[in-house]
Amino acid sequence: MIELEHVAFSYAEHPVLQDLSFRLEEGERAVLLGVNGCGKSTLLKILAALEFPVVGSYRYRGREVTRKMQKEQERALRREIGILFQNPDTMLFNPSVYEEIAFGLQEIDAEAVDERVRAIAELFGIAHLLERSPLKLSGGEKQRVAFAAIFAVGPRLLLLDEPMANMDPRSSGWLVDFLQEQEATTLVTTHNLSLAPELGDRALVLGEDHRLLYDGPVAELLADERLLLEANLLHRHRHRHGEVEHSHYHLHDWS
Amino acid sequence: MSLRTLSRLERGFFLFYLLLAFALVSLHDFRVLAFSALLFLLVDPALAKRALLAEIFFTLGVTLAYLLRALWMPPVDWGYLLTLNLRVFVVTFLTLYTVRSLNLSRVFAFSPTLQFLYTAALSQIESYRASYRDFMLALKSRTLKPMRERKRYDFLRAMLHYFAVKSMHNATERTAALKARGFFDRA
Repeated sequence: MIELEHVAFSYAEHPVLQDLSFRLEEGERAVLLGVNGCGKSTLLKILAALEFPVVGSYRYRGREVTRKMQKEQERALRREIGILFQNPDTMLFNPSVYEEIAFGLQEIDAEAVDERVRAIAELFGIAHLLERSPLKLSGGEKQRVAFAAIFAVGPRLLLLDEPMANMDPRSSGWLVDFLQEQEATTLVTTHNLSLAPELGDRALVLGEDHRLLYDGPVAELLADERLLLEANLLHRHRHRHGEVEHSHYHLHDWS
Repeated sequence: MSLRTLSRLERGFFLFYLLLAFALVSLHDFRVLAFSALLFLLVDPALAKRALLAEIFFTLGVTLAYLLRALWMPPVDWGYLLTLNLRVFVVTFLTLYTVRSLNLSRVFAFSPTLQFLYTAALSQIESYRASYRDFMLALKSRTLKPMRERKRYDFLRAMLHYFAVKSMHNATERTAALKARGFFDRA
């Protein structure tokens, strides 16, 4: 479904991604790991055809994705690829949650839109918010609304950038369960290693040098302490138990 | 070159910029300004284009307002209008050139307050720029068909709301941080 070959990207003269090659098959669930600033968000934007590689090529379902694509081709791509931004505020602009979900469903007739919006709202547990302004919701609610809005269009590929970042533990749990039930191909970014096995079977790790450091099963990654240290995904801190003090590595989220 | 020498040199350059900008603002001869503009254009055409884009709406607004006023109070002083437009262009170019060439944080190193304010302003600008970029990309990612006029207004309203709330929040946080560091206790 996705094929990247030697992709590189930079902002001004700062490299953001370097020599990235991987494939993602239809229906696959993968998790993209790496510390802040390693290029995870940019990679998702490239996969969503919002940014374009400076070097290398990106193919989506066999078609080359470039800046020179026709408008129609670009829009067809947007219909198939849903991207959830890290900051949901940047995605919400409609006067009500209802309109937020309905935006993007313009091709369906009015009655079907209403039905679809209500079904999606029910699925995402936001039916009680439909009349509210998205701008006045809590961070977790905004995240759900933004996700519901992109999900409503029925994308084949879901790109989620730190979807749990604004969510409370209950909502995070709900999202994990929800994603496990989906058939769409998903790529989820996180630096929370403890959640990684729940979000995908395959892990892609971006190193601090903006290169792909690992591509393989999540379970093997979690067992490889050397690699986790190299990717700066492990941390070590001291514990005190009365008079006794010791330190060891941790997988849990440090943020 | 040591950091100290570099810092001095940059401060000297900045002082030169201030003096030159002051001289250009005080000039009333459009021929000198036109010559400066031509010189700048030859020195760095790409930066000259950026300077023009940065100030065009301002000068257009001022020019139109002046011409409208001239409808009631003729005649139009074309020399004045040309001087004004050229002056804005050369000062904008000079400012962009200075900002690009110098490390302003080093220039303001003689005053911790000035340096702090500069860093705070810069981080604010960078964060706003990143948010603005994300707003535009997020909209692009969700737009499957050409947008209706009303939706464009909704988008603009939401973006302005976000920046207004963010500005208020940042200002409150920054004031609290400055207060905590004793910034307002200085005589």
